[in-house]
Amino acid sequence: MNKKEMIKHLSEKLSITQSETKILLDSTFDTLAELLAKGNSFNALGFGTFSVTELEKRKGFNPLIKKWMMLPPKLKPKFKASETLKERVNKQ
Amino acid sequence: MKIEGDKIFIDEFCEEVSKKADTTDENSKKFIHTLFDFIGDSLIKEEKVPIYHFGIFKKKWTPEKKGINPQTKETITIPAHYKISLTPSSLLANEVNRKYRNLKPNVLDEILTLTGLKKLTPAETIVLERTDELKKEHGKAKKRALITVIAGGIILLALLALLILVPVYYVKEDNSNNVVNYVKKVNRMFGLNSISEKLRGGKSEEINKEKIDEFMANSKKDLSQDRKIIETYAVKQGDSIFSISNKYWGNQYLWPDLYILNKDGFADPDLIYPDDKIVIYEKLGDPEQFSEVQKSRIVQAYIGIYRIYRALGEEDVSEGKANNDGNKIQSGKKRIDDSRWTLYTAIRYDHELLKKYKDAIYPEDIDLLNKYIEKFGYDGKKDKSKN
Repeated sequence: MNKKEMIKHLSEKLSITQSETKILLDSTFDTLAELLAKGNSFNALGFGTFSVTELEKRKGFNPLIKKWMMLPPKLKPKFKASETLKERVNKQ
Repeated sequence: MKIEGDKIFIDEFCEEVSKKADTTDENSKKFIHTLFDFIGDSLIKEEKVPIYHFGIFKKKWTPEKKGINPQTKETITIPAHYKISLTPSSLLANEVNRKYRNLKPNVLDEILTLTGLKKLTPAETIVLERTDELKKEHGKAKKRALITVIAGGIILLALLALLILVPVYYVKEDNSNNVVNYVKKVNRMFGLNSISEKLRGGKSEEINKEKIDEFMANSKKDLSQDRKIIETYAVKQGDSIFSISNKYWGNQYLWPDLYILNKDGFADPDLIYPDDKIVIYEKLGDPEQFSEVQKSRIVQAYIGIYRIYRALGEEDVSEGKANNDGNKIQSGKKRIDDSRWTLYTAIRYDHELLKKYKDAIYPEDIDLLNKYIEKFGYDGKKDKSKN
């Protein structure tokens, strides 16, 4: 499924124009990305939680140069699905 | 580790979105609910729901497995299920990781990697940081070593230059610029006499007895050519090679001829013993009327004697007899004097001798003999009364 199909579906469901849907879709995920970049977390009820985790610096093996590397710490976006979503997906 | 950030709920989020999309809060709220519902529905039907520039929502099938409840320590079976996850797009990942964006992975030293993939203990992290410091210090030490080496090299060069320039200075003082003297000087400074002998040019060759033997054999062949033997004479007490020359040929200055005809190679010309057999050939010719061939032969004989005296003189450094003035001189020095006088005697037969046989005569002797010739003429008669 690509973006076009998604916009088409959403606009039909909400009975708004596709261009309006597109603007809303883009701004939703832009906002979400901005929130995460600031280190905030967002709880979309019934869907899941978006948050940021910090990975400590660690050792890792680089298979290309065949050497152990000291990897720097890292901030990573994380998504945890809510119980409702899990149930819905695992129903069948 | 979870980041300490603000928790944002749906209302606040909707306000932000409506600001961006320029619609009412109600509209955006409705839209967001529909959107997440729709993504959830899509996940039921499909494996992946990609969202451009944000990430991909995925479901992954996990088979049934056993697990332990960490609180009650009971083993439980976890039923097979779908796991739902978000794989962030690189754009999102970079945006979120802005704080650590500039850090890059470092290659670890061999020793430190022995611990493998284990999580680092605090002590190990300290070691890692310490190695970074050590590397910096190592670099500094390298620089220092390089500077020391360069400075040492410059000092060494300066010393070498001094060693070369000082002898040059002294040689210049002596007013003798030629290379041979310079080399002599340097060798005297460092005691390298064996090298100096090689470099002095010709000396070792002239002392070489085999060469003299060869030379003598050749001149013996030349001298004996076309000459008859008159008789054989046995040496008596008190005879000398001069007196025998005088007795048979009426001229003592022809003695080198007699000597070379009777000796094979290198021997002391001053020594003959009683009962030695001496073969007398007919006279080479009248010294007043020598032909060119005869001249060259007698001169050759003289040069042979000069070389022998010279070689004997170079070898002999023992103290000899007192000379006429009562001063003791080295017998070697006397031999060298003899060699010069022998050569001087030969000059009466060939005035151009010093030029013709330049290679067989020491340069110092050539200088000396030129002075003799200036003083006394070619036959020792000029201005003799004055001296």
